[in-house]
Amino acid sequence: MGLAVELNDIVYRWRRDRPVVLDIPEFSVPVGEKLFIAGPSGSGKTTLLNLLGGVDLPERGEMTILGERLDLLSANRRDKFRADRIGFIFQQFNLVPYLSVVDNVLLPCRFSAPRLARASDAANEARRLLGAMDLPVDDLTRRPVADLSVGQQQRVAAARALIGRPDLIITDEPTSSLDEEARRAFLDLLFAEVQSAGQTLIFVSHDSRLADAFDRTMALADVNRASVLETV
Amino acid sequence: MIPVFRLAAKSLASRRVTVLLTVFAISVSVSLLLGVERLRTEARASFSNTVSGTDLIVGARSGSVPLLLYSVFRIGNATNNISWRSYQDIAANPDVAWTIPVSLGDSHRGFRVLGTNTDYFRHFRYARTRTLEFAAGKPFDDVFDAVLGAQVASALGYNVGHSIVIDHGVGSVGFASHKDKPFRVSGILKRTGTPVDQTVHVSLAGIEAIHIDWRSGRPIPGLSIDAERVRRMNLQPEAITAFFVGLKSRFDTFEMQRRVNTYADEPMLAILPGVALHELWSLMGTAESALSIITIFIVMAGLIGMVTMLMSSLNERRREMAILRSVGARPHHVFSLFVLEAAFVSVLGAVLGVILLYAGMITVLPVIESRYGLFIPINPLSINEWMYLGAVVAAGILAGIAPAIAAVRMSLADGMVVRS
Repeated sequence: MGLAVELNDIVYRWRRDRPVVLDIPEFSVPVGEKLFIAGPSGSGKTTLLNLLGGVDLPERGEMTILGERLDLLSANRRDKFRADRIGFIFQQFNLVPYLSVVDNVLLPCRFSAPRLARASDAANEARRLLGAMDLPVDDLTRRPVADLSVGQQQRVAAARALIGRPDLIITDEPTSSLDEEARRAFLDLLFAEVQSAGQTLIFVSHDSRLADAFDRTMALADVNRASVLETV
Repeated sequence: MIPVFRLAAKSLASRRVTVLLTVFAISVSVSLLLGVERLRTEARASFSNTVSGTDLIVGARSGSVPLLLYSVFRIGNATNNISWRSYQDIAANPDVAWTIPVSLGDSHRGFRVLGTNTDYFRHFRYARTRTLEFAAGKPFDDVFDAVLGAQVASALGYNVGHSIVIDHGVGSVGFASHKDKPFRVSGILKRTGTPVDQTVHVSLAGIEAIHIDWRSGRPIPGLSIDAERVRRMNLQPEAITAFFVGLKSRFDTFEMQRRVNTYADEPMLAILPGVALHELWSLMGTAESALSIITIFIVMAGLIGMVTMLMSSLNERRREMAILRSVGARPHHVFSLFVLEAAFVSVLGAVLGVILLYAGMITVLPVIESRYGLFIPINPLSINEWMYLGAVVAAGILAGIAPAIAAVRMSLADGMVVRS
C-alpha cells in the first residue's frame, strides 16, 4: 500500500526571526489508514494542517501528499490540489452562513471540476451524504444553516468534506463541541463513509478518549521536535 | 468567476438591510447626477431653440446680451427705442428678405405684451425650423385683437373670444391699466417651449392705440379717446423696440451688421442671435460646471459608503474566507467575490438611480412646466447618460478593489483556520 502522506525533515516557523514551530524529521500515513493525532492546543496542530492542505509551505523539507511533491508546487497548483483531493472538517462554525445546507455541501464541487465529476449528480450526492450523516434531508435543505444545532452543523460539514470523494479527509477537533453521544454517532457515520470510499482519514484532536476507534494513534509531540508552543 | 457569482449574490442577500441602504445611497447620487445632467442639456437645448432662422436682431445701442434678453427672452427692458423711419429704411434694403418689428413695454397679469405685425407668425422660427402654429383661432386682424402664447392661455384659463385688459408697464401688479380699451383673444398658439408661450401678441397698431391718449406713462388728464374713435385715427407707430431680420443670403450677415452698426441717422446695434445666445450661455457656464462637479462628489460619497460597508464586514467574514479557502477557493476567488459584491451594489444603485430619475421626472416636470413654462420631454436614456451610468459602475468596481485586496491579504494570513 502506498503512502497518502510523507513528510521528511520538515521545519517551519512563522518568520525567520521567530522560533521554530514544527520540526518533523519523519512522518507518514499509508493510504486508507484512519489515523488519530493527539495534540493539545499549541502543539503545532494548526500549522501542520495548513501544511498538509498546501496553504502554507515549510521552510525546508520534502512534503509528498497523495504522490505530489506539494513543496514544489506553486501556490495556485497547491490550491487546486487541495480543492480536488482533500476534504476538511474544522472545529465549529464550519458552514458559510448565507448558504443553504445543500449549497454548503456542494461548495467543493463549485471550486473543483474533478470533485463535481466524481459526485456525478452532485445535488443528489449531497442529499445522499446528508442522509448518510443521519440528517433529515427534506427538512433541512431550505433552512438557513444557523438554525441547525452544532451537532447537525458538524455533520453537514462532514458531508461537505466527503462529497466528490477526495482521497484524503483531514479533521481538526470536529467533535469538541459535541456531547458524548453525538460524538460517537458522528465518528461512526464518518468512518462508514470513509471506509466505503477507501479514503485516508487524519483526525486531529486533544480528546484521547476517541483514539481507540482508529487504526493508529500518535501524539503530535512524538513527531514534532520543536519545543516552542504555537501561539493560538 | 461563476462559483463566486452565486456566492456574491447570496452573501449580499444575507446582509440585505445594510446592502439596500448602500444601494439606496448610490441610487440617490446617481439620480442626482443624471437629473442635473439632463436639466443642463435640456435647458441648453431649449435655450438655443428659442430663436432660429433669424440672421440679425436690431435694437437701440446697448449690449448684445441685454438686447437678446429683452427682445427674445422678454427679460428686462430696452434702454431706448428705435425710430420707425430707421426701421423702414433698413427693412427696405434689397438684401433683406423679411423683418419682424417688435414693441415691448406693457404686460397682462405678469405676462409680457409684444406688439408686432403678422409677419411674426409667418417668419418667426424656433427649434431650428419650426414655425408658430395656432392651437385655436387665427392671427390678430383688428386693432384690438390679441394672440396668446400657450402658457398664457393655460395659466389664465383663456379661450378665443375672451376679453383682456392690458396693463401699462411690466410689473406683475399693474399701476395703471388700459381698461378703456380691452382686447379680444383672436387666437391661441401651440406650445413652443420658448418665451413665445408666455407672451401676449397684439398688433403694433394696438400698442399705438392704447397709448394714444397717454403721455409719460400716465393718461393725459382731460383727454380720453374711446376705442371706436381710435380705430379711425392714424395708428402708425413712431418707434419700435427692436426688429428681427432675415436676409436673402446668409453671406450678407456681417455686411448688414456693419451697415446697421454704422447707421448714420441713429445709433443702433445689430447682433447675431447664435453668437449672443452663446455669450449668454457662457455666463452661466461656471454655475453649470460647479453643479456637475458637486454631483460627481455626491456619487463619490455614495461609493465611499459602499467601500465602508465592505471594509467593515471584513472582520466578521474572516471565518467565511477560511471556509472558502478550505474547500478550494483560491485568492482570486476571494478577490472576485468582493469585487463582484461591489459590482452588484453599483449596478443595483445605478438601476435604482435610473428608476428614481424617471419617477422624479414624472412627478416634478409637470410642476416645472406649469410654473416656469419650461417643457422638458421625458426621453429614454441618452448615449451620454449610459456613459455616465457605465462610469459609475466602473468606479464602483474600482472602489471594490481596495476591500478585495484587504480580504485576500487577510485570508492568506489566516489560511484555513481563523486564530481569534
